Amino acid sequence: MLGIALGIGVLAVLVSALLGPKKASRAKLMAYESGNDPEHGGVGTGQRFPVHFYLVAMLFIVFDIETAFFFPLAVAYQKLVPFAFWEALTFVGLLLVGYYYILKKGVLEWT
Amino acid sequence: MIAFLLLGALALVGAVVTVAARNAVHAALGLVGTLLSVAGLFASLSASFLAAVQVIVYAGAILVLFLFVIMLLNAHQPVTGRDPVPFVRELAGIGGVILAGALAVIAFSYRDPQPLAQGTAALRGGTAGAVGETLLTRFLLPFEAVSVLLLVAIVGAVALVRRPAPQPDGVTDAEGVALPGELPERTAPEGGVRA
Amino acid sequence: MLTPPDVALAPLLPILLVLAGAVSSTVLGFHLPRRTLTAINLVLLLLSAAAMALLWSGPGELPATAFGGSLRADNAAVLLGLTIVAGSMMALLVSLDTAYRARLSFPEFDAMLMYAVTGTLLIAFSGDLIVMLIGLEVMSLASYVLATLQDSRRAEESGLKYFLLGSVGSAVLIYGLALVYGATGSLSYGGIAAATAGLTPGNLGLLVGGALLLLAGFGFKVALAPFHQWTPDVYSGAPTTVSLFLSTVVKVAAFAGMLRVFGGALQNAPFWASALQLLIAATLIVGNAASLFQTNFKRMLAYSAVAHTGFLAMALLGTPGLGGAALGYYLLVYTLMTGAALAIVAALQRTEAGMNISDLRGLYHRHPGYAVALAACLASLAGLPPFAGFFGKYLAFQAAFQNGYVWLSILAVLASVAALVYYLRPAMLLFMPDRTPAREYPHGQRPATNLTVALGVAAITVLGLLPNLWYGWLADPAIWELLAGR
Repeated sequence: MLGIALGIGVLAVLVSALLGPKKASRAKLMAYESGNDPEHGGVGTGQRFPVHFYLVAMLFIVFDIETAFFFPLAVAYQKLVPFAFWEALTFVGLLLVGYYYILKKGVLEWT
Repeated sequence: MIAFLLLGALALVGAVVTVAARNAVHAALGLVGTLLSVAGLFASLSASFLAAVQVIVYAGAILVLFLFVIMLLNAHQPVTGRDPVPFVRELAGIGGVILAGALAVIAFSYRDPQPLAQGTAALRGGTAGAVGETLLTRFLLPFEAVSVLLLVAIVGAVALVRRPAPQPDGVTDAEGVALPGELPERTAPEGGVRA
Repeated sequence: MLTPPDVALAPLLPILLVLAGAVSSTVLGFHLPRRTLTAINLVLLLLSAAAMALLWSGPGELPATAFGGSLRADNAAVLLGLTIVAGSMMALLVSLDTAYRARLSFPEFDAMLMYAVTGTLLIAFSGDLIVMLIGLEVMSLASYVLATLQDSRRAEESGLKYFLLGSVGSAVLIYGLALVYGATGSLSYGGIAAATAGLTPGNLGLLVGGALLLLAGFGFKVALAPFHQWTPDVYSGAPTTVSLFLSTVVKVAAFAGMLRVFGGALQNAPFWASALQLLIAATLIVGNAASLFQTNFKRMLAYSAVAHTGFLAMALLGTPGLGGAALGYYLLVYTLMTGAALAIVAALQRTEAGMNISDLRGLYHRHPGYAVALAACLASLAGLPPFAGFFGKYLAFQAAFQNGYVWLSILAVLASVAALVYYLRPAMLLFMPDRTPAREYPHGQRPATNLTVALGVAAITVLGLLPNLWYGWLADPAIWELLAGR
């Protein structure tokens, strides 16, 4: 089983490396930086970078942690049913306050 | 047991890379190794939910933020120069050895205290379901308090980045004329960090 | 189906009211002006204080608990909670007058302050280590934001320092918490107190290590030397209203946590008291010595806050009954006198850097009311007899002395004699003749600040003359001996 799994992985890389056409161009050889030119005005060349990116990443983590808390709740929900509903509602309600604040502040609008 | 030792060794290698790497991106990648090995350790101790959370939250989200900050702050040039504090490496090394020794002594003389065994039994191997049951009954107050903590994090982060405009407070001078605020000490550059 | 947790509204109500204020400031801030929200928050704080007063349990009554003991609304929690509410109301009242000048007058300031108060109340009402930790984190996170919220380099520097050192403190604290849990197998204060009696020697090492790490973590939060280095920079860099909040409410809450953990859960654990007395000695020396050399008044008050941490922490060395009562009394007095002094600084300063001590010269001839009030605050901070600061210091020294810490008490007495120098120098300057132009902010009628200062000074005078008005509630040793519950 493990042999087959490894074999497929190695094979896929090998075959495409051997058989694939290779036509290098400047754009293809450039390091991938999500569409930014890494050498001319890209990341790491002193260009100003909107703090907006950082804020969105921050909010992503907060809601990611919220999901981590929700997962066990969802699994155990059947056993906890009458009171867990209200507990979950409180939890979500407080986070909805944060969500409302984000929306009203226009953080999610990308201009 | 073998898996445990291997994963432990891998976590150590990652940690050493994190500390020793001169390039911040390499250090962050070393940290990914450590975090994933620790997730494996959790899994091998049959704390499956904890392992999953470790991968999702730490290796996933938090590491992404780490790399993001390294990118934003242009920290991927290696750090050169001397340590500002003398002998900090030597002291940290000695402290680390003492700490490791103390922890080893403690680990070998450790006995499960009585209530801990009950707590472990209640978690029944740490599946998400068992964690959920404990979280929503015994640890309900911390659970709800965590949502307050997350709310503070959201509001705080947004308020710091998008600083709202101060509203006049209606304080007047003796003649009843509204007073000006203090002059700003500087005008902030419009929401930007140097990349 | 499992048994649902015991949710009780009454012991939770004080916290919920404050949280309601925080949430309403967050949500309604888009629709209502900031001053309206501040008024709502002040009312909610008063209601919260009333809810706490109703939780007072008379002799023989069992304190209200909820969530299986995670939340303990015992008398200690009520007394510490009332102190917290007093400090928070002072900060909010002062902010009514000065927030616009400090460029802080937006709803988020109120929201963050109320979130921080929610966290502090969770600490005071906590019945186990987890709730205490989350309360501490809510408080710390909101405090970092408060320190940074002003749009200025000074505030940003102050907030960043606070954040970096504060998170190191939190990390150390969590490590200690994990070790204590491992050693005793319990998270609740009562469980830990019961388990510390019959430990195997191996786990005893773990317990001592955990207790020392907890001590270091709390040392960061209350600013015990050598973990105090952030304090002067943060308190003097943050806007004065925020410094008022940080140096009173946040410190009271951190001490409430220390009281719960060391006076309650770990009261039978060995070794931490010996370490604590060394930290206190260092704090007394460093805090008082550094205060002597300050030229900026706000920064001097920051170092004086460090010095007072040393005096306050001495109460923790006493027997639980005596030490708890001393700490409870001193914390309220400390909050009132520091709050009133910083309120005066906030009203009179030209910039957020505060003012130089030399600028205070002749203040009596320009603002007689503020000058007399400031002199009273300084005398109380110095511990001079007619004011409440004297009685607070006396109780704290007595608690430590009676429990056998003789040399530390002598050091503390010497330190407070040295402290007279730096407190009385500005107090003398206030009344000296002065012909140079005024250097304080000339404008403004500040009814809310005046009210705060008047109430604060009246309270420290009355509590100094009739200490039993507050101490009478605290004096019952049973309150402080049952911090961990039975």
